[in-house]
Parts: sequence; structure tokens; C-alpha cells
Amino acid sequence: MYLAENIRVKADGKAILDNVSLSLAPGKVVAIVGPNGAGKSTLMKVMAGERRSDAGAVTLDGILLSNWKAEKLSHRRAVLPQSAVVAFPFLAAEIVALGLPQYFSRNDGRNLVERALAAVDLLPAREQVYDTLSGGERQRVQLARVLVQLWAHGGKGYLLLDEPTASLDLPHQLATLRIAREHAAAGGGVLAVLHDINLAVMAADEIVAMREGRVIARGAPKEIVTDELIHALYGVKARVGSVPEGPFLLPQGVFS
Amino acid sequence: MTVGDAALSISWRRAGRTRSILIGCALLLAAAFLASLAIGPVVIAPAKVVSILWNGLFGVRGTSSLDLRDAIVVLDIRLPRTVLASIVGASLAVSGAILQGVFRNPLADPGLVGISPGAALAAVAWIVFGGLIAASVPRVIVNLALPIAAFAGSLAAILLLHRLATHEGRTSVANLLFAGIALGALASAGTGLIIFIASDQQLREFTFWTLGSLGGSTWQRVVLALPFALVLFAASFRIARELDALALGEAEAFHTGVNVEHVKRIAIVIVAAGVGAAVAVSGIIGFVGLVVPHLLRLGAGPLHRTLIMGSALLGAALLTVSDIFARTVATPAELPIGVVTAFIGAPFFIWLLRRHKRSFG
Repeated sequence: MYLAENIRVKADGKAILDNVSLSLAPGKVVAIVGPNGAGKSTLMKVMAGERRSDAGAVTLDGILLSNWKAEKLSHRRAVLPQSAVVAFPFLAAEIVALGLPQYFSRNDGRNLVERALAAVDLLPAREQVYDTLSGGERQRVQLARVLVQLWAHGGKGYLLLDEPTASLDLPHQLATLRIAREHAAAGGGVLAVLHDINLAVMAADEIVAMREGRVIARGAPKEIVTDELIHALYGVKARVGSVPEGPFLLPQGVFS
Repeated sequence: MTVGDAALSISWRRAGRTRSILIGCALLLAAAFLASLAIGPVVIAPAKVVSILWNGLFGVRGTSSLDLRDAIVVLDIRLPRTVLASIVGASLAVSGAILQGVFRNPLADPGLVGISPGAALAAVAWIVFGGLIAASVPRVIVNLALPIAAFAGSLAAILLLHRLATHEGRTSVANLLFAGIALGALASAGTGLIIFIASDQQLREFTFWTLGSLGGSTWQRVVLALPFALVLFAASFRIARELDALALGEAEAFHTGVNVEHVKRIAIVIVAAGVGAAVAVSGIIGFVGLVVPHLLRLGAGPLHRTLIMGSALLGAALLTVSDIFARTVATPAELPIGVVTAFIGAPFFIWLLRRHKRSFG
């Protein structure tokens, strides 16, 4: 289990996260939704162990996150960054291989790297310089890297994805969510920040809706995604329907 | 910690090229080394140089006076100088590669960002004021303290640079260069001031400290520099993989399991050791740490394990060749070696800036 309890984060006297709790279980996909500035990315950083909270605690497998060594922690959870600039001209395959542990043999490593690149539909680009790829392709290379990081240790760890679909086209958005579902099906856990409510509804077992640093709703997509929630979250007037099956969102203009 | 093979050259295409480039660098160094022993006021045929080296291993120096003269020239004058050039060149290039990895920026050269000037200031200060404090201390200890003082100076400079250039875990190029230039200018001014007011016999002239020289190299200096250089090389391979991950960013490197602060601490200390030792024995020699790693990244890729190996070989070769020029172009006078490396490095630096115009913005 991956647990965040009563997390509070302050910056410049303002609460960015206020009493946020979250639990992530193996086999589940949890989506965080909410407007810009809701504290979603900060929550991800706290969950990843990258940022300390001012109050509250995050535990992984029952152990406080601050008591994990960076290396051991990397075997249990991997983090997909929102956007990653790489300093030097690494090849796509070399970036993916950064997810491998040091002691991996070259052949095992190659197999995992190629499997991950195939999973994100980028095997042909493996010898291309990362910087020359498009934004969406770079994001998929990074996804392959975090997959490799967990696969190298049994594939059952937790994936933290910060806007994994942000710069992807529709088929690759769907493919990314399929990968997240497959990871959960294989016994891993997934926590993803998603901006597209429709995608969140499709992919998640649980949706956590955040606004102004607080969780204002959580639950199964079909139960909590309502006209009222969308209005409370975004101030947008929308009607949630379910044609032909499963809720979806039809924006009808911006409203204050 | 072992260096994993999996990360090294996941690409076969690049793996083959990387191997050829490393072999090429090694051959280049061997050729430069031999040329440096052969070329000078007395030109000695390479075959003869090899036989003098071979005989020298067994303490044999020949019988005729001509043989003896050549043996003295090769073994006592040119060999220590060539070995020192290799050590200094390799140290500067590897230091540059590591510094660039830590700052995630190809412009971080020890000379350019004020680290070598910091080392020179500390070395000069030690020679002048250390002598005042401990005039009765034997000369050997004073000499031993010199690279340690330079190490302390470069360490202080790197720590200052890191503090000035990094804000909330991010290092901006502009901050890095501004802070580095300011540090370098300040340290050079301090060095100039101390040399101006001091009349110490031990102190060499200002050009030695600002432009470097391998003149008067002795085995004693080799012994002073070698331990620092060995620490640099041994430790740099141990953090090669972590430096690769750092290219993703500090937070991302942590996500992949790297103890970022630990790696940065090691990197800072070993770079200070390498640069300090180099400056203590040969003054400030610029551009080696900039040009060499960059060329290797272009050819062999940015993975740090090969980058460090290649930088050591190519850095040693480049400085050895530069030294041949420095001591032969204007015989019997010697050019400061920094003049030669600047002639190679400065145009390269400009080319680099133009090439990266957009990404350095």
C-alpha cells in the first residue's frame, strides 16, 4: 500500500495542500483531477518523496517514505515527470536504459528496453537522439523509462504519472492509459494526474477531485462525476451524460 | 557498486563507434607521448626513444657519451614533463566532464567558471603567507602543502559557485557563467595582488599562474600531482552511472534511485582535487576541460563511463601536443601553454556558442 495521510504543504504562508489523504493499492488506477493550481503536482511530489510535507506522513509498504533509501525506493515506485529536458544528446534507448539497475546484464537490459519502447510504440526511434524527438515522443520515451524501472524489479511497483497524456495525440493517450491499466492488472498500482475527465473516467478505478489544495470528492467515476462536481471543480457549466455507455463530458462554454 | 553493462551502449551502432573512438584516443596519446619525448632542441628518433625507455626500465643508460646525453634528455628532462602533461591534461578534461555532468551544462569548464583561478589564488597565498607562518618548516612539507592548498582553493571556489549559481535545485546557464566569471576575475585579481606585493623566491611570475606552463617539470611534481589525479579517476568511474541519470534533472535522478546530494558531494570533492593538483604543478591551463569532453560527446555519445575514459586519454594527448608546441615554436624561449590551448579552445568555444545559440538562451 501507498498511503498519504493528512498531508499539509505550505509555501509563502499559503496552504498548497491542506489535509490531503490518499491511498493507492496494488491492482488499482487512481486518477487525480482538478483545475490548475489545485495542488495536484505538489501532491505527486510529496508522494514521490521529492518534496517534504509540513505535516502528515506518506508511507510505502508500511514504512515512512523518509526512511526509504533512494535506491530501494526506486525499485518500488517510478515517477513520470511532467516534462523532462535532458542535458546531453542521449539516444532514446539510452534514456530508457537509465531506468535499469546497475547490475543488469546487457542482454536482459536490452530486452527490457526494447519491450518498453515497443509498448510505447517507439521501437523504431530507439537510436534517435532524444532531443530531436517531438514533445509527445519524448513523453513516451520517459514513460518507457519508468516502465523499465519497475519491470526490472518484478513489475509490481507503483507508477506515479504526472499528466502522462498532456502532449499526446488521441491514439497515444489511449495507449498510455491502456499501459496504466495493464500495469494495474499485473499487480502494480497507478496514480495519475489527468486533465481530461473523459480519460480519467475511462481509465480509473477511483477519481480524486482536488481544488485549492483540498480533496472535494473521491470515489468510483460513475458515482462522483456529475454536473455538480464539474461545476464545483472548474466553474464550468457542463452536462454529464452516459451515451452510449459510461459517463462522458460535453463542455458547453465557460461560465463564472 | 559495479558499473552496469546494460546502460553502457544499449545501442550496438554507437557501441562500435565508441570503441573505435576510445582506441583512437589511446593511439593518439601514445603517438603524442612518443613525439613529446622525441621532439626538442635535440631531435631523437622514435625508435631510439623506445630503446632508451626500455633500457631505462632496467637502469641501463648506454655507454657512449652520445647515448648518455640522449638518455638524460629523454629520461630526466622530457619524460617527467611529458608524464606531467598527461596527468594534468587528463585531470582537467575529466574534471570538466564531471563538472558539466553535475551542472548539466556543457559550458562548465574549470577555468571558465573560476575554479582554477580559485586554486591558483590559494596556491599563491600559501607560497607567500604559508612561508611566513612556517619559515622553519622543511621545504618538502611546504611543497606537499602546495597541492593541498590548491585543492582547498578550488573546493572553496566550487562550493561558492554552486551556491551562487543554483537556485531551488536549478542551475541557470547565465547564473553559472556570471558567478563563474566574477569568481575567476576576483581570484585572478587576488593572485595578481599577492604576486605584486610579494618578493618571494618560490613564487613564479604571474604568467605562470594565469597561463600555465610545464617548464621545469620534475619527478617531484609528478609525485605531488599523481595521488590527486588517481583519486579523481578512480572515483569518477564510480559515479559515472549516477551522472548519466543526473542529465534527466536532479528530481528525476532521485526518482531513478540516485542519492543526488551524495553524488554531488563526491563530484565536487574530486573535481577540486583534480583541478587543484593540476593548477599547483602547472598553473591555470584553460579550455582543455571544455573542448575535450564536448568533442567526445559529439563522437562517442554522452554516457559518462566512456566520456570519462575518453576525456582522460584525449585530454592527456591534447595537453602533451600543446606542450610540444609551447616549447618548440619560439625556441629557446617557451610560450605559456595556456596560450596554445587558448588558440585551440577559444575558436572552438565560439563555435560551440553559435551551434547552441538557441538552447543556451
